[in-house]
Amino acid sequence: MTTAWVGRGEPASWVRRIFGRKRIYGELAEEIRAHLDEKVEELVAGGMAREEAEHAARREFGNVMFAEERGRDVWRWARLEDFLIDVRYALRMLRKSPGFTVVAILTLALGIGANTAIFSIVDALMLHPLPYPHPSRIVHLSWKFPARVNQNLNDPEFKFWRGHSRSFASLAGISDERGVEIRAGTQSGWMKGLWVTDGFFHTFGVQPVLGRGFVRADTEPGAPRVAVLTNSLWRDFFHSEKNIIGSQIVLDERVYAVIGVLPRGFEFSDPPEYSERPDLFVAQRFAKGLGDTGYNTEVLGRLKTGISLAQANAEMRLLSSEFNAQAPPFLRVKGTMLVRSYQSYQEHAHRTILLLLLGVVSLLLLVACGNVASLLLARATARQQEISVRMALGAGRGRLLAQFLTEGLLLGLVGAAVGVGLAAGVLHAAVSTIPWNLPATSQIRLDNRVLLFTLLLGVAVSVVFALTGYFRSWVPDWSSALKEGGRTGAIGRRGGKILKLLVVGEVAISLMLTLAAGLLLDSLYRLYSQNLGFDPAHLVVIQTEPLPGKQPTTKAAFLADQREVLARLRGIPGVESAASVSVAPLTGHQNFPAQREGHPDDSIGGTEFRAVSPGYFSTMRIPVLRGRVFLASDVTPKPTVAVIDETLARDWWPNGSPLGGHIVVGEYKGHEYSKSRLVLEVVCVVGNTRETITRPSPPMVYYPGGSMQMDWVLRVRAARGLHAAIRNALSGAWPGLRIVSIRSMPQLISAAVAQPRFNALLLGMFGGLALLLTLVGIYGVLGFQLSQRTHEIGVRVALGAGPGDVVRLVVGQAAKLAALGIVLGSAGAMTAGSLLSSLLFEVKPLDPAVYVASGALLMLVALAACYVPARRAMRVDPVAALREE
Amino acid sequence: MAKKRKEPRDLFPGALEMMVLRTLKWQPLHGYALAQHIKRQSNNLLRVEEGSLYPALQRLLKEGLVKAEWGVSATGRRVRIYRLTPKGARHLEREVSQFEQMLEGITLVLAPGKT
Repeated sequence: MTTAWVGRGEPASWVRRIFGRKRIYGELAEEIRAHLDEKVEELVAGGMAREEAEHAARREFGNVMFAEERGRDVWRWARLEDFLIDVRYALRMLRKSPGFTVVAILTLALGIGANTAIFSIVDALMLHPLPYPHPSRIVHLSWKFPARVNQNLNDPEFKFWRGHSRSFASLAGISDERGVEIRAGTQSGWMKGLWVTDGFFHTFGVQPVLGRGFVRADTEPGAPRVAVLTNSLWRDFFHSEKNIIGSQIVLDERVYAVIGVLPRGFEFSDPPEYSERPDLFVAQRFAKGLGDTGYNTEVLGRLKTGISLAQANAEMRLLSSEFNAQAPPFLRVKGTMLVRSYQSYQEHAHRTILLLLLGVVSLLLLVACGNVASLLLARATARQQEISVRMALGAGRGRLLAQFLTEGLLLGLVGAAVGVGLAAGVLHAAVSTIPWNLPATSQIRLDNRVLLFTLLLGVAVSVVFALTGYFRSWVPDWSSALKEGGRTGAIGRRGGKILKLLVVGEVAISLMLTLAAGLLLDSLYRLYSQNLGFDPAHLVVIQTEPLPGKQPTTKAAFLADQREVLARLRGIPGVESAASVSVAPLTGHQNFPAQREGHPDDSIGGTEFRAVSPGYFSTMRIPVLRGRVFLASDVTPKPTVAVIDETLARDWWPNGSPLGGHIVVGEYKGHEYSKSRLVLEVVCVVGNTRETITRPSPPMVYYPGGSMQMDWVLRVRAARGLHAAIRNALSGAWPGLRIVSIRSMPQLISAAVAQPRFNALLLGMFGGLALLLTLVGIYGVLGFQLSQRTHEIGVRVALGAGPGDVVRLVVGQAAKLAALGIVLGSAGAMTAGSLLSSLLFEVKPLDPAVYVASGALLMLVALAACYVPARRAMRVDPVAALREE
Repeated sequence: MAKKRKEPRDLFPGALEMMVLRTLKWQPLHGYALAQHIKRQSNNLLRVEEGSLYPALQRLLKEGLVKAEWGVSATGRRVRIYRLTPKGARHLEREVSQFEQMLEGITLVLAPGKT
């Protein structure tokens, strides 16, 4: 081998350099040996004794080791190798104090894991585009009034907008969503159906793979009934039958023709209140004339290419006044049509809670970081001597900083990795239990974006830690630190101040989180304990639906069937009383415009109506305030009497008695709204009831009788073991009824508060975590400070301080810091509190009781954290403490 | 103190490298010969610590300013013979002219007061 192979311009020379370094080093050593040999030979030839010559040669050459080392240094990849050394060193440091390492990594993992989990939900709900082609062009239409937004339209409005607007490539109405019984050939089952107009599939950018979608003619009054199947229904129920198009299926006893099958992968997972995905789509057929004038149609559209949201909204404003100009008076609307992007409309339902949770978890991460930072600070002070030695040996500032960065990165990245594991576990276990009716639950996952977010978090906290440790331990004058021997290792004014600030900050943040959790828990408690206006205990609610084609043909026969069902229900052992109601509390609404007879100004557009059997009030235990409740003789095909609630009595008859007054159902501001106009005489006033758990109900009118859709309420001695008897009673008395559900009222309440309960649980959990972290943080800081003050305490004890004084010293400081934190946290919470108000129920964001309780809890935690340090301080032996000096 | 002159060391960073390149410009040499040559040429005024020659040679090798080949010396031993590369020659020229400028400047400043 004679050529030198090392040179800059050679291809991939650095690769060879790394792998060929051993050889370079060998050659260098050989060359130096040869050099010395040659020198010795020369000197010996000159007459010097060999031994002396060897000495002289070495003298002339200088330090052989040093020359070799510096020669080798030329070839080193200094940065990388220093980094690897730092990593090894950092690992050793972390291994040396396993307690610190485990606490720090767990703390970080909790903080980062919570952020990862919440971010993945935010990512899925707010940052991911909807799974349809050109999703940004899909819009949602609603009426915007000065104070609120009404998300639904009625049929005349939908037809007007479809006919007159030019901003949309298509408009689609969704008018109903319900479970249907499907029969085809010999099989049958229950499926979820969605009633939609033509334009629906175009709006969502999907084409049937077999057959066709809906056209305008399919929605005309009296058109043949047609349905389009989702791919999964076609596969699972119809076994991918190729000749399905044109075949007939029976939905709820009505015959429909299958006209299309949608492609695989199209899933309509939507409006927040529609929790289950539809299995099939049914063409909505408009009624003759005006159509349905109830606000029951959700309207979606696809913007034409080149039309912006702003342009569409401008057209809507013009059309809104045009609509009112042509509409009959009772259909006029004092609002404008609002076009929103469908995505933002969907996000809207969850935005508040998601933003709140994001805020909460970032605060939690702050607490976690504060904790780890204070641990690091304490440790950095303890490491002062090590750092001083390193600086004395010539380590530059840059190398020290690199060292701390490496340690911080190790902590941060390991914490982030463990956190991702935690988040994945929690999401996997809990995502299906989130009661938010998430539109795209299956999309919540730890994708690349979430992982990148976590990585960035990990790096960010690492840098913070590195800087904390670096600035703390960078000693301007290492020689004096060395002399001190690190024994007293006083943390110094600045370090002590930072530690105190960290404690105050942690307490302040924890207080804010505790407050938020406290407010939500208080709301939840009030939701549970509020007076519903009826007695929910031992109440069973049965929801039934009439099966089409199996119904009594006259109203009188219908009422007779109803009486028969009630009689049989009352006959079940264990049932104290039974009654029927068109819509039981907490299960839905039924409303209609109404007017006080002769007083057009006393009109309410959405008066709640319930058809009830005479025993309803006693079964529900709704208090009767004035007058008499319904009698069996009041139940006639055309009702004439009404029972109203307190609210309506106060609204319409503020001064006189409502008894004997008349209500006109189906009339609004002097205009007839419906052909089924009824005049009812008020015979009774009863207490208000909650029909929705979170909101007071609008004014309520009860009338005697029944409706096709019927709920049954039973007052029982025990709610268990009744199902079979209930089923028997119903099917025996009225075979045309299908039981939709049998639930106890407490179950209904529980379902109704699922969302607030989940929110409170989540916040409670995060608040609890923050408290735990704060406890550990204060404990760590106090314990560390105590170890720094052993000498001082020893002096005090020697001068006559008793155990009480020592405890006061420790506890007093913690209490002061906690109090400062509580004040700052309260101030912060007061400014941020309004964010919570939409999630609260009958609790003000500034509820003093919650503030006091949270502050007390925080103080308690701070004092609990003092327990061990205070006991340790009391046991300080003055002699030993002083001898240490 | 007179003793101090006994340890004339590397003058300034890069001086040794410059001398090595300069020497190699005349002829390829191995390490020992290079050291002796520099010593002789400087009339022992600049005493190079022989050991420091090797890190300098390694730097020049890495930069591609010299090449090394194993060969046999005049005394018959296996040695590494260094040779200037064209890049090294250009580098030397640049360094020398910069050095001369600097020297000129220093000389002017140090020259006894010509006003």
